[in-house]
Amino acid sequence: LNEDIPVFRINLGKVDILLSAADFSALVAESDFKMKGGSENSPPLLQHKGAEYECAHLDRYVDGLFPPGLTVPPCGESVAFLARPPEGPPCAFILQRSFEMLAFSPAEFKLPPMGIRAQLKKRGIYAFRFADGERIQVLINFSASKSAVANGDAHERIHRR
Amino acid sequence: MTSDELMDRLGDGRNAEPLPETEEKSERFFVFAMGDGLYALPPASIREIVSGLDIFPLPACPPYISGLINCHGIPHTVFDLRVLFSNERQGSDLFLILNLDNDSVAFACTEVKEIIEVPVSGLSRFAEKDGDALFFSSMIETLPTKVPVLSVPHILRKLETDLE
Repeated sequence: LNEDIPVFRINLGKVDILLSAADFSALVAESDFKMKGGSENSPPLLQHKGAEYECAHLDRYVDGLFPPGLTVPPCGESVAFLARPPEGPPCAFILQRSFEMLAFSPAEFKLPPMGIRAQLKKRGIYAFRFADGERIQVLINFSASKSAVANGDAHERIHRR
Repeated sequence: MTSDELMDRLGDGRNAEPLPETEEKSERFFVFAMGDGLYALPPASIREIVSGLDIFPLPACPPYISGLINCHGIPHTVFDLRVLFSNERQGSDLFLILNLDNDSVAFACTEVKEIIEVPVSGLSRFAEKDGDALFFSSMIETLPTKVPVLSVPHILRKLETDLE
């Protein structure tokens, strides 16, 4: 129960996003997937090894969470985080920022203050971690970013590539 | 000398004359500034005063929520009450950490003033139907300017309502 939790740390500039590695089944480089479709009414699909995944753009989701100036713009090649949630169709999250894999003790994660906890959870923010006592790291639940796409909230849908 | 005799000698007050009934009760208040306004809180409602912490902005919160601070490793919601009262932002890095059982909350302020003792007659109460009772529990009338006493439950309820 006290084993370290593997996470992907995405450096957004003044803030880090943490994604639990256990939420994802695979990471795929840009050269190994294709994009298909995508319109106002339907999400684009990511194709990889014959399977299709409903696609969301993680960069736009996090840019919608934080004010301009707190985050650096996306750069570099895209990577797709693939997920097969127990409920719902397989989905993919495109990221164009650098990231690394780390592991932290569960005790290092702090829940948001009670008064705003439910509100932040709706936006996919589940916990915080303070790195070196100063830098804030935000643990987000990937499924929240998917529902944000479905609702047209926080960011736009990814366009056909 | 028995312990009772010793206590009497030390003057523990057990046999002291009762206070005359005419002596007025008083309450203590912690007075602080937010911008150019003075406000007060019961001292027991403040756990700690901290300064120099960075505020991390939070998404999807009302404008009077400045963000989050890291106080001893625990995230605290920061209220800028000047935004709520007069739509002005303070830009302060001085925080009153509230003494709450089930939440972690800080009020931003610009200056800590003093702790004062106020006779009950120097406090005006608000009626529940009074609009000012929305965020204040009483008003200190004994200082050169009237100082409102913040009602923490009402302020927290405001956030709860705004987030619904």
